[in-house]
Amino acid sequence: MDRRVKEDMGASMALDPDAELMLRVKEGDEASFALLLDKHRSSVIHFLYRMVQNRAISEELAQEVFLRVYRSRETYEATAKFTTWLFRIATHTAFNWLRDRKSERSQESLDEEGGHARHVPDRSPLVEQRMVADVRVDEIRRAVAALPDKQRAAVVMHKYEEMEYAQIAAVLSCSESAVKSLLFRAYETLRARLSHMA
Amino acid sequence: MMPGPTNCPMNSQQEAALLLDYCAGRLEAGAARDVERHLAECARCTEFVAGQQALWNVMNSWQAPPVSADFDRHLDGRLRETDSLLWIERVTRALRPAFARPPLALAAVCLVMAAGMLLRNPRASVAPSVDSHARMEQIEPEQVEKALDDMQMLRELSSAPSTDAASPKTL
Ligand SMILES: [Zn+2]
Repeated sequence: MDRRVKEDMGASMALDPDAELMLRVKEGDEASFALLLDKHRSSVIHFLYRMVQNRAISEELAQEVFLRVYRSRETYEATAKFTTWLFRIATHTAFNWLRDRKSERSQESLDEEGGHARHVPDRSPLVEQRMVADVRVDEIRRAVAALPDKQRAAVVMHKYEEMEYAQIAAVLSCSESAVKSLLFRAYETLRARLSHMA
Repeated sequence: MMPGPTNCPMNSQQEAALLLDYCAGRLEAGAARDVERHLAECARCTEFVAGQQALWNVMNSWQAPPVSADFDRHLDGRLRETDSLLWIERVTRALRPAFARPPLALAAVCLVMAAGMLLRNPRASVAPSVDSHARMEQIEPEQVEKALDDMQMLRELSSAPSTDAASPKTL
């Protein structure tokens, strides 16, 4: 089975060590799951944090992402780079949360809540308060939050996760040229909104 | 490609990605030199690059907070819950044909009870003594009730939609 998957993946995929680890998780090796968690915990949480802009919620969503990875281990096939699959799950988790939140809170403005959900207690209010108090950071945060969801995800993956266009395209299930257009429009908006801070 | 205004990357959003790569320092040395040659004679691209670099410097100040110390512990607990639920789901699936036929279900319950008795009292023989038989009769109603409760729980689990395992595939 392992050999067949590697052959299907081709030479480049066979080199993806994370996919190899996930195939070991599929065979019941829990230590490989711990290695994957260790390697990608921060990037997944940080990506989700910049998407939902709340520390407690980003960690809660990251838990769901890793649970989904674990629950899917038996059906996992290494047909794509592991991080592409992981970020696809993370992106959909974030989009779902943002969609639900929009419908729940259509009456509330971002200004009123300061971009933070009130009903979920933050595990580290000091850190978050300090960040909110920082006007510069707050302005960046609001500018990114004002982007359409897909543009926001593209910017966060491109700028903060340093992903290539092809991988962002695979995560967002669109073409590479669509990603370039998304990014061009998103950065154009951000430059206009944040130019006074430069 | 460049230099020359007719080959200006700013003529299309697709080509402008090259300038983004340049700003991010992701271009190889040769490609970066080509961009710099073009920048020397194109005010439009120079303005774009300056604006983009300034934007990224601003965006660099937005740092994500550190991960909570109890993240792994919390996740570990949820993984264990997941394992238990998956185990129950598997048992449910395996026993579903038996539950469809009451005599088999009754036999399964008796078998589980007998196994439970043996596990609780490993010294008990397959043919019980009069004493142990009496003891068995005493606890039987309670165990049957428990087994039926378990069966009910398993039925509920098996009828509940199970989407989690397949969901990432459908993303
Ligand atoms: Zn130009």
